[in-house]
Amino acid sequence: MPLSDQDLEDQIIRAHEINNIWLLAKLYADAAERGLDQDHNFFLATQAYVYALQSNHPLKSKLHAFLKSHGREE
Amino acid sequence: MPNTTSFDTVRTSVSRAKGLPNAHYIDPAVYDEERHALLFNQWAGLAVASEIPEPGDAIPSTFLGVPVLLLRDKYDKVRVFQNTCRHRGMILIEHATKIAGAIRCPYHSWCYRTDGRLMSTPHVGGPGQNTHKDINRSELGLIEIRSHIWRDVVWINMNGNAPAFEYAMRDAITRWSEFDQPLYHGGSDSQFKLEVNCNWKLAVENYCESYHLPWIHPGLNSYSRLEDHYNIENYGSHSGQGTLVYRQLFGEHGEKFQDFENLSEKWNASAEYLSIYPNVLLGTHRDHAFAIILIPEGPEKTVENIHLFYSTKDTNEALRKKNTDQWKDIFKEDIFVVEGMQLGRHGIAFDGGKFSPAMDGPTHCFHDWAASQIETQRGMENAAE
Repeated sequence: MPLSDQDLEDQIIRAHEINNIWLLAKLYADAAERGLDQDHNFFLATQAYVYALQSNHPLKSKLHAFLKSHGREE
Repeated sequence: MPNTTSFDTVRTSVSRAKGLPNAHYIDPAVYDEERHALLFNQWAGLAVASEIPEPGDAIPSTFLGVPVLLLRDKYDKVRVFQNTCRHRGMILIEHATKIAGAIRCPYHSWCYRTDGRLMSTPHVGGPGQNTHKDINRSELGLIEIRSHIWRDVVWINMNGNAPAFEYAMRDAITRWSEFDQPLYHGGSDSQFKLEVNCNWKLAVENYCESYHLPWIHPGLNSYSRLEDHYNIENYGSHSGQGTLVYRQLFGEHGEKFQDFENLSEKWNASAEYLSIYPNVLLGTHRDHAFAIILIPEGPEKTVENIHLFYSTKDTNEALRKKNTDQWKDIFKEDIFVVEGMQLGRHGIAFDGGKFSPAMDGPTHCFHDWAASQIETQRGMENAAE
C-alpha cells in the first residue's frame, strides 16, 4: 500500500533526525514525483538531488537530468 | 608587524653568533610574524598521506589557525583545501570522515566534488532553481592549498609563493636519494602524539644536534658515542646529525626488519636525522624511517605527530611495537629539555645564548635560515609601504 503524504512527510522528518542521507535522497525523490505543484516539485527534487550527490545515490543522474531538462540545474 | 628584533648577532659566523632573541619564542606578535615568514611562505609539513589511505578519506584540522581539509579525491590524488564553503564561509567538514559522493556544506548545501569543483548550488536562484546568472560555479571551487608528498609527508605551501618543492628541497632529496623508494606506514601502532609546552622551533633545534645525546639519552651511550656522530649543515634548507654506528633492532628470536633495497654500504651502520625547515623532523635507517611533524599551537605550545615507516607492507607486529616504544621513550626524554629551554627564554637577560662552534652548527644553521626568512618578509613589507 502506498504511503500517504503525511506518512512520507513523517518519514522525511525521521530521516532528518537520524541524518540518514541515503534515505533522504530516496524520500525526497518520492515526494517530488507525487506533488501537484510543479514549483514545489522542483524544490523537492533539488533536496533529493543534493542528498543523492552527498551519498552517491544512484538517483543522482536521474534527478540531475530532470532538473537540467527544466532549466533548474547546469 | 613587530619589526623589533634584530638579527645582527644571529646572522654571523657560528663562532660569534648568538641565538634568536627571546621574543621569537614567547612574543605573540613575533609568533604571528613567523607564522607567515617561516611557515606559510614555506613548504611546511601538515600530516602524512597514509592517514587518508582510500579515496574519499578526509581529515579536517587547523594549521596555525587556518581550517584545512586533507582528503584523497576519487581519483586517488591527495589534496589540501581550505575547509571553508565559498558561499558563507561555513566550515565544511567538522570530523574525519569518508566522503561517499560530494562534500555538502551543512549550512545551505552547496556541494563540491572531491577535487574541489563546485557542482551544485541548491535554490541559489530561488526555491527549486539551482542556477543564477551571477553564480559562476567555475570560479567558486574550494580554495586549494598547494601541496606535495615526499616521504609520505604532505607538505603545504599556504601562501602559494614558495619555489617548486623539488627545487626548494633539492639538497635533502639528493642527500637521501637512495631512500627514494616506497615507504609503508606501520599502522596504528606506529604513530603517536606528544604535546609539549614549548615553541615549535625549540623542537627543531633540539632534534638537529647531537651535542645533547650523552646527557639526555644516556641509553645510547653504550653503543652510540658522541664521537660517532657528525653534523649536517645545509644552510638555507636543513640541518641535522648522523651516526656511524646505527644498530638494528632485533626481536626475541632474531627477527629484524627488512632493509630498503639497493642501499650503498655506507648505510649498513649509518643513520641520519634531518630537521627539514620549517617543521618536519625526519630520520632514516637501513630498515625503517620516521617523520615528526611539528604543529605549532601558539608561541609556547607544540604538538608533535610521529609516524614510523618500513620498507615492506607486512612487518612483525611485536618488533614494530618494540621499535615504536623505543622511539617514544627517546622522544619523551627530550620533553623536559625543550620545555626547560622555553621557560629559560622568559629570563629577560638571556641574550639568545652562546653556541659551541664545534657542536652547535646545525642549530645556528636553523637560526640563520629563520632570520633570513624573516628579514626577507620584512623587506617585502617595507617595500610595499
